[in-house]
Amino acid sequence: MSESKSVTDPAGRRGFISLLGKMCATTAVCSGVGTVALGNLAAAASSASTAAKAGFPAEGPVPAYDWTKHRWAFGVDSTRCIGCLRCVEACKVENKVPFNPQNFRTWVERYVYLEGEDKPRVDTQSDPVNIAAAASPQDYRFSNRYRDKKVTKAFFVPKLCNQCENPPCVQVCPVGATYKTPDGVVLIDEKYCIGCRYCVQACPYGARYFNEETQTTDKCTWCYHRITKGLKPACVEVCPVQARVFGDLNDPASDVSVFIRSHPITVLKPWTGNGPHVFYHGIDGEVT
Amino acid sequence: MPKHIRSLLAILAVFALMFVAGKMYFPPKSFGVYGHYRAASVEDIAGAHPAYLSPAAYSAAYPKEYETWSAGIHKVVKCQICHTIVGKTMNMASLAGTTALAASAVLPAAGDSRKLCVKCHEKIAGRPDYMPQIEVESHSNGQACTSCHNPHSPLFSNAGQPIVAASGASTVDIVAGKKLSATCAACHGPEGVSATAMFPNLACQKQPYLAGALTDFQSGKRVNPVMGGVAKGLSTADIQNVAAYYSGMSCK
Repeated sequence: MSESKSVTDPAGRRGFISLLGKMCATTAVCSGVGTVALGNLAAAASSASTAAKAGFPAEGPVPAYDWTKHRWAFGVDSTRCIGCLRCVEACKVENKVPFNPQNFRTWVERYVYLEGEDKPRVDTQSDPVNIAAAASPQDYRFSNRYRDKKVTKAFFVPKLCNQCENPPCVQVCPVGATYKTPDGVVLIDEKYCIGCRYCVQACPYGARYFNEETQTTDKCTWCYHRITKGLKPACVEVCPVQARVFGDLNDPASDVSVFIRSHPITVLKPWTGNGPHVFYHGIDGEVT
Repeated sequence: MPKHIRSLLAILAVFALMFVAGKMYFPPKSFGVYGHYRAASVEDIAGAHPAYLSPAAYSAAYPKEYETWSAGIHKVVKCQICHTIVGKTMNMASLAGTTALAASAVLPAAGDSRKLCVKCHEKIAGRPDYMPQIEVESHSNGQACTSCHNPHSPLFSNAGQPIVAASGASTVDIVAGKKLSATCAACHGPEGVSATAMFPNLACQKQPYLAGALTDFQSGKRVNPVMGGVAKGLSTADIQNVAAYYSGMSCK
């Protein structure tokens, strides 16, 4: 499996060099380099995912759960999100994330365009103004800080781990403490992590944080302990407005498959080639 | 072969042996079964107990609240969104498994509603218009939200009266409406959303519209053999109650 993957994986060293070769050849022949190279990348990405799937034995390590049958994905409908931060609190309780205003497995960003400004103002629940608005440091709330301002456009963007097809965080781990499962979730082995934080640096989405209590890196697992039992992740379970959607891409009737079919969607930083699997609806190009 | 090369080779061989022995001894047993990681860690992660549960887990312990809540607009706000103590993982001690929980379900008191409700309902930049929102100071005048609103069904008072009274009906009992709706559910669906195009959806329709339709069926102004028969058996209060029930449902 590792052999076939290293040949086709565009994020792998060998894949990258072969892609570079193809790009050089293409440059010599035609002028549309970028387009063709991107086409190669997409083709390589899709073949990599099928190769990875085929190599896994059917019965996985989780009892009564076939991890080769699923490909989990997440949907975020930004037009529905009300910024209540119930997902953030639920995630902390469910996953024993330290109750402080700095460490989060999932968080919510607010983009506000004021009249006369062409760049959005961005804040999260970690912003000092928002911490002050909450009842206690262990409580999360967006403050009414733009009450006296003229707001032309504003929306909330929930963020979490994108569970990439080609995760750069896994590539850099020196000890094999983080890995991607065949159902598409990137996990961290807490007992094996040496706390070097290389993966925290590697993630282009800032999805990983260093847990000072356990001295290991931690991040969103899409509540792997819940989804393998047939439940939804805690944030999806508590979201009162269905702004968060979760399901199996292999099942065309799942919530996330229906969400992707029925909405115009985008992913964050698609040009990185990571193949993120959180699909957003209703966000601007400024959101990355 | 010169002597110094031989001893160098010997030292290299010893190091190689130490490396192989270390490689056999140190990695955990399950390392490399599925890939370059410890296979047992997947089971460790997947074996954790879920803390957030479906509201059905609490229906036996709190039947009255569950009934009110499941009939109202707050049906989308699940128990543990409000009934949680920040920083404490509720029910973890009693959590032997998800099925064992229903019997021992204990929900702590919800926090101060003036701090809790505004997390969703305060009018702030970024909150979409479809969400009911209030200007906190002018709306509540410092009162707790729960003094007027039933938190399990906030369009209604704690006595079940609609907060904004429908025209011509001073008292409406949403729970009684739910009981009556068992008849309607056969055709119009248990959620008020029918399975076929033949029967209209009832969920989310405005209360005066539903009540008006039932009254018209009853008086014979509107003619339908099935609905005419159903409406004949309803009192004026019944009509308002069942209309109130369906108007409060989510149309998802």
